[in-house]
Amino acid sequence: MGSSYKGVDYFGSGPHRFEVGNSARRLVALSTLSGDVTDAGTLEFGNREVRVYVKGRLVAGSESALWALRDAISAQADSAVVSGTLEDQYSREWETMKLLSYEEDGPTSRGREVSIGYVAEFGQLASG
Amino acid sequence: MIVLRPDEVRFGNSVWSRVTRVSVDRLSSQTIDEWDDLGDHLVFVDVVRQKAVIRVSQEIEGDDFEDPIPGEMASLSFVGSTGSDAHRRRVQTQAVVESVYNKVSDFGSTRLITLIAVSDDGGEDPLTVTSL
Repeated sequence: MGSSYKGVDYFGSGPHRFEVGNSARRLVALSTLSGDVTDAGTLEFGNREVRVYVKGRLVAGSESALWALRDAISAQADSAVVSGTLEDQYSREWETMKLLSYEEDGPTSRGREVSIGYVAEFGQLASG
Repeated sequence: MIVLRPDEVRFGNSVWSRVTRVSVDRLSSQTIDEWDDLGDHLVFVDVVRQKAVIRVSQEIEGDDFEDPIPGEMASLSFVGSTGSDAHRRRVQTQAVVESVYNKVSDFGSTRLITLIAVSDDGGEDPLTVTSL
């Protein structure tokens, strides 16, 4: 069973792992809102948005094949792209997720295969 | 790769005599190993930086002022012998001298020259083996 985003297997070319960001209330210091540093305490404004990180390595047999994988994922980080369902390798689903960023963690590695490490950050934005 | 008593060892314009063996060690300088979410075992391993280290052992019988200098780069070649003209093979590479060690004792002296092979373009194996 593989992972997917919007039903597409973007990460299956290589090993990858899912990490879920923190679950927390969204707290704002009262002094930040009032502009008066002497105001103590915090106010609660709902919850923090969900973040899920996919960390892995894209693996291909050639430079051009690796670029195809890289381009397919990074295209999803475009602001015009709508949200979709993210699913991990155990069928856990997060709905209305957007790819907020796709970042590669070093140069292309060229050995038996051509590969590159990455971190993809997904978010469930309150704005939709 | 190990070649015992090679017929001929050349480094640049020098001929190294009385070489008892040449060995080539293939070492990883950077290994990528990755795990997946599916379990505890490695699912991806690749060597993305490697080097070939060549060690030349030489018997020294007298004064010698022609030892190579670390950093020196030249074409290294040696011929593996089978004791006859059959199946002789030449190994050739560009190599940089990394170190030169002399061991001197009452029973004889030996020199160990360590070199690192250099590839022309990074994508090709720096060592070529040709049948003679």
